[in-house]
Amino acid sequence: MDYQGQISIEFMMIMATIPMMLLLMATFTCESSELTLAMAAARNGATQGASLDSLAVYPDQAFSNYSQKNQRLLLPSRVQILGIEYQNQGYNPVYQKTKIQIRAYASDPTLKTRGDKNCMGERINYYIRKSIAGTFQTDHMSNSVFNPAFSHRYYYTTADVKWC
Amino acid sequence: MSGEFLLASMVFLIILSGIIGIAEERSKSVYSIQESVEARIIAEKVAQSLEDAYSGGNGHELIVEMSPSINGRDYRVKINSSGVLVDMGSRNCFSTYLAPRVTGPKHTEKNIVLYPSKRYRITHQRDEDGNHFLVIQETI
Repeated sequence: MDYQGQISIEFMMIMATIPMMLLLMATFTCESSELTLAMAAARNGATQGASLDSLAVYPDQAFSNYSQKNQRLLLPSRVQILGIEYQNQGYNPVYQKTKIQIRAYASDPTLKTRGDKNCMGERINYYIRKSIAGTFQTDHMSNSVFNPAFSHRYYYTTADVKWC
Repeated sequence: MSGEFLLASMVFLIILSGIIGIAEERSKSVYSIQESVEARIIAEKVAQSLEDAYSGGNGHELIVEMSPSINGRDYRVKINSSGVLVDMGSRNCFSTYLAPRVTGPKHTEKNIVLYPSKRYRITHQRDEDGNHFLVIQETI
């Protein structure tokens, strides 16, 4: 019997299975990598927001608003980011993406009023969303305040910053 | 090519593209923070100079030198009765000072603007009624 030029059925099955497994693993890797990157971007944005809040350097519109209502914010403060967490809120058919809600935890003993904390929190959230949109280069898909921010499979919103 | 190599390359490319995005954002963030720090330093420096001139008493004077730019950007420092404002066009930074009145060489100006790369002399003076005030004028 001539066995030359033949391959075993086992080898053919393995060769057929490997590409399928590769595709599956690549899909899982992409998904988890995307979320990891988004959270890294969110931390980066939160740090930037906290730094700029602490230095009290604001865009024209914000500066004008704070001059009238939140004068304390015109002076430097000590905003610290204590942590960031996210919650997967499921698939949204409108955006055809999965919704991720991000919440930052911050602290600043120099801020006393709820209004001041809300303003600072909004700025931190803005920079979180901006950083995510910039990292995935989806700025053009969002509005001027990057709400929501998008990546390829997810879209991101921010909950009110929790002050500790 | 082996399956392992393909998988490793794929994972590497995915991670690399993400890292590049993060690095780019981080770089922009650092640039923005550096700019804000420089603006804050200028605001505090001018406010501190005004307070130093005031606390020095009648006749005390000092020179304040303005930086040529804030991280390569043009800026103006505006001084009025409420404080010192560093205006970078799209962003602002504010600081306060504890001097009763600040004016210019004519002694009537209520808003004084300081420009980059200039030197200004701040002089503590007193009028006939005994009121203290600071005069800011450009010097060589």
